[in-house]
Amino acid sequence: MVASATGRPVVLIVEDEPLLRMLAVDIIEEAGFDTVEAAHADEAIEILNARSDIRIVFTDIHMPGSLDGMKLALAIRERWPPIELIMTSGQTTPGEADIPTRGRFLPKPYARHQLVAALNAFSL
Amino acid sequence: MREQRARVLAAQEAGRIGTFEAIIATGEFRCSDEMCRIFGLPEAAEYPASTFEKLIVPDDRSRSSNARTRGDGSASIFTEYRIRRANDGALRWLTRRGDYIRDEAGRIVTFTGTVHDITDRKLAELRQAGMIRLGDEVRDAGSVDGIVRSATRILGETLDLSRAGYARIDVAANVLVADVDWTAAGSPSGRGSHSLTGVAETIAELKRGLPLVVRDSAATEWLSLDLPDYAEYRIRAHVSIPFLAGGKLVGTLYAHSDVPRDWTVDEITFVRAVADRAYSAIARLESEERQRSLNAELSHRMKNTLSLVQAIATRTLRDVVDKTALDGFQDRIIALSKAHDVLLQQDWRSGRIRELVDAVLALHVEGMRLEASGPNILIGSRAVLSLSMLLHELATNAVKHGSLSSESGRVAINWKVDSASAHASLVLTWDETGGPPAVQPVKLGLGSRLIKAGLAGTGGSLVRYDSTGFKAEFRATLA
Repeated sequence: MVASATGRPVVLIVEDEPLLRMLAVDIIEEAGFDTVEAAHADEAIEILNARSDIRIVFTDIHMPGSLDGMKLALAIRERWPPIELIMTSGQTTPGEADIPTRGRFLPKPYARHQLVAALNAFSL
Repeated sequence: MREQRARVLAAQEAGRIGTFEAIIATGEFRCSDEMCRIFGLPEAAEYPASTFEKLIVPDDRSRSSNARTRGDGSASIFTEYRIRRANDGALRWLTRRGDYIRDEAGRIVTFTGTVHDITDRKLAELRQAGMIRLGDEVRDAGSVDGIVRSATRILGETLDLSRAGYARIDVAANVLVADVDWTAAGSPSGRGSHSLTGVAETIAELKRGLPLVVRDSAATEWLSLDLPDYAEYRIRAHVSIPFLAGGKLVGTLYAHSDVPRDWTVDEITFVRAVADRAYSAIARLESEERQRSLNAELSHRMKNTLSLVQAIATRTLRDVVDKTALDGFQDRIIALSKAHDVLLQQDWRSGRIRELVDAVLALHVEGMRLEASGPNILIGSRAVLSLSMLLHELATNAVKHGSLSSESGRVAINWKVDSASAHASLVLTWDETGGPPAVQPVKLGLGSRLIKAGLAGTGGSLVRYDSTGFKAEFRATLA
């Protein structure tokens, strides 16, 4: 298992809304993970290019910029196949076929226990 | 005698009644002037019978008479058929009454009768039937194309056109697009995208917002620049009704004829009526579509706001209250958000009870531990919101200290409409089994208050703390 200096697995949170990003950071860190934040997909790709310790990407689907969360997830599945994916949206519920392999979806707003359960379901 | 006959003839001509006499033995066919005029033939006292018979529309020839049926007496006395008039090819409806004149021996000598042009009445009936059909079809149409298909077919068939269609017009982009059109057999379709440049005069006229009536394009001076395009699509006469939105020309419904045509007031009125009906149906569809996308946007913003409320509360309160309280708050926000999901499906006015039960309880209960049954009725938006809160509290309690706190516990939720009393009411029961005995809570928290408030937030709840588990019955009038 690749882990950060603290020995905890690292989750990259991609969310354009700062408050929601903060909420996700709180929940995920409390659940025993380290977090890295990106405000949009392009920033997420930069981070993924720069570091190799990201184990899970938790991304909003609807985001401004050239890539939305769905395209970001598909790109990650292709370029970094081992990374696990959790997607969230208050707008659309993607069909089974649209979610990348091993990916999970949480409708917004999500409960703390739902996000924690989704994170812990991956065998890291 | 001669005077009397002249009077009869004058009366017939005034009534547009033609007379004829077929001499069986010789095959001669004598006709009145009015008879010739009805068939569009130069006036003559006599024509071969076939001259008239050939003008009858092939489909209708089995109903008209011929030399054989007149001779053997099998031609019907009274009939109705259509002709293509000889001089202008116009489709006309005729009724014909005939009588057999026999000799003493009973042999048929002549077949004599009258012909009446009933086209005006017939067309009025057809137009009326067309409007009724259009009304039915447009009411059921779910797309702009469907509306246009109905309107153009009814126009084309009713008015005997060469083509009918609807074109979307984008003046800024200098283009008109016809997605759907109706054409008579042998007429080319005008479907596709066309530049406005070739029909600039026509467009300038349509921009005025009034019906455009062209009886013969070749003889219409102001149209001369547009004629090459008219010729390419064989448009010799047309009636076009512009569709304006916010004062801007956005489309036109058109009725084309490939021959010059002296459109009657009734025909022009009919095209206008069809266009009015089609345009209002298109406007209705577009406004429904706008409403749908507004609803989706509203739902998205609502959920985003609820997510933000969650985040703000968590950030603000995490050092003040314990995590259980925060989680309880978050879960209630989520139940509220599920209620809005269900309301969105019915334009925010109401929601399906089954969908609400499934959405809210799915947050807490695995499907196999829940038995939910009842009619999937619509309930009002206020009831959807209060029921979502109620179900959430019931499920939370069941998970915390009720039947769902033990592995073998189950919940049955049932609802029905009770129409025994004056006002029909919804009765919903919650029945926990397989868990520990139910204990009445000491402190009355928000959860207990919500449960007490019942289905509509106005009471009507009955709770029992049984040794087999918690039971409750809720009742509220369906207003």
